[in-house]
Amino acid sequence: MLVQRTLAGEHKAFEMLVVKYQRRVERLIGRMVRDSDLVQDIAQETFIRAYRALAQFRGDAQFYTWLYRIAVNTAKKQLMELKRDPLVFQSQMKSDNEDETSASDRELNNGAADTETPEAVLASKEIAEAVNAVMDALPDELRMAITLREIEGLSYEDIAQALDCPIGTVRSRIFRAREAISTRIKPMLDRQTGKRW
Amino acid sequence: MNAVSHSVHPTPPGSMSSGSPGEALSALVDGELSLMEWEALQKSSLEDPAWLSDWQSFHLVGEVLRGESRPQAVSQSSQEFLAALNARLRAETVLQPAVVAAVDQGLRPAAANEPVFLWKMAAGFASLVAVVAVSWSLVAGVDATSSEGAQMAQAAAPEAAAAPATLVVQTTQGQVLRDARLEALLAEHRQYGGMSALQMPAGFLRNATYDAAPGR
Repeated sequence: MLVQRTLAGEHKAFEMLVVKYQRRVERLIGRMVRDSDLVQDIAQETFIRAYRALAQFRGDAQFYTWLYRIAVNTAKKQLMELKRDPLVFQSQMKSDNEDETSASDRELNNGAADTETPEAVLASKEIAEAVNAVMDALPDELRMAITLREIEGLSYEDIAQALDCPIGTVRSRIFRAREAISTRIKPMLDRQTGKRW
Repeated sequence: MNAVSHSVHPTPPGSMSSGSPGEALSALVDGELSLMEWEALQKSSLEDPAWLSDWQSFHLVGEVLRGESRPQAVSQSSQEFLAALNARLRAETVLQPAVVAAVDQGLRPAAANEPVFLWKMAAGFASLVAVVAVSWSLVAGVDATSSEGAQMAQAAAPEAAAAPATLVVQTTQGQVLRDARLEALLAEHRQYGGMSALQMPAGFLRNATYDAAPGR
């Protein structure tokens, strides 16, 4: 939907894609590059390239898979340019052995904590605990609805059948569950924003 | 937790507007928003920057529940990130028409090698003239040669016409009939006959040999 709307010239849709994937793209690049300013620059360049090339996205693959490739290529190009200055290159690169595959593996394995600061690890733990606490406090119907959606990956229609209720109710329950969790974790995210992970 | 408890307090079904922007945003996260709802959402709430934090946290909730990632912050707030990104995109968009306009108005700076362009043009013209001159002389030469050849052919024609058509020639294999012109030709080139010109067996070659009659 958002990709199609972006192609239709709706810039707000592109902004939503950016916000949706900003964290994942930065995390991916952060595993290849040390400097947080450089991570941010590369992330921006990634989205600019994606914006230019969006018409070429055929939709065969997931959007993030396509974006992932652009991010990795952009980071590699940036590192190659830095390589001309070996001192800078050594200070910016995370590891000589870091490659696309290992970065991808770590991404899929929830990211190893070897590069995270203790504060970031603690903050992440706090957020995860808060999410779990709110989930426990949720009424059964809300918890069931969001569990079936986020963890089981069911569509609204399937959830409606499973819970024997109208789709509109499912949609409402999922939103209310999200809103509850979101209200709890937003202050934590605001505190974290801008900190190096 | 109080805030959470307040948020998660069971809400009677129907108390929340089914068309609330937050709910539409949540449905968009799940890809369950219709185009009509999207348009309504755009008009109603996406102009308010507050949607950013909701959008971001809704996605984060899903990632944490699925255990996809550590819930970590981004290096820069989404609002700042978007502002910087939009500024870069605008700069590109503005720059491109400016460059095109400059080219249209002939404001493009001269290329570094432009001063030698006239010399290149002169050299090219000279080459062209030379080629034309050589071609002209060759064409004229061919015309002259072909006309001489035609004259010689015309001169030789009466002799050929006067020669007898065939001759009876005595060879080691008996009498054979030969074309008179062939006989004359073979007689002229007799030194090449009788053996292979290669001085070696060459079965794959077909030789034209001439065995004169014993009396000749």
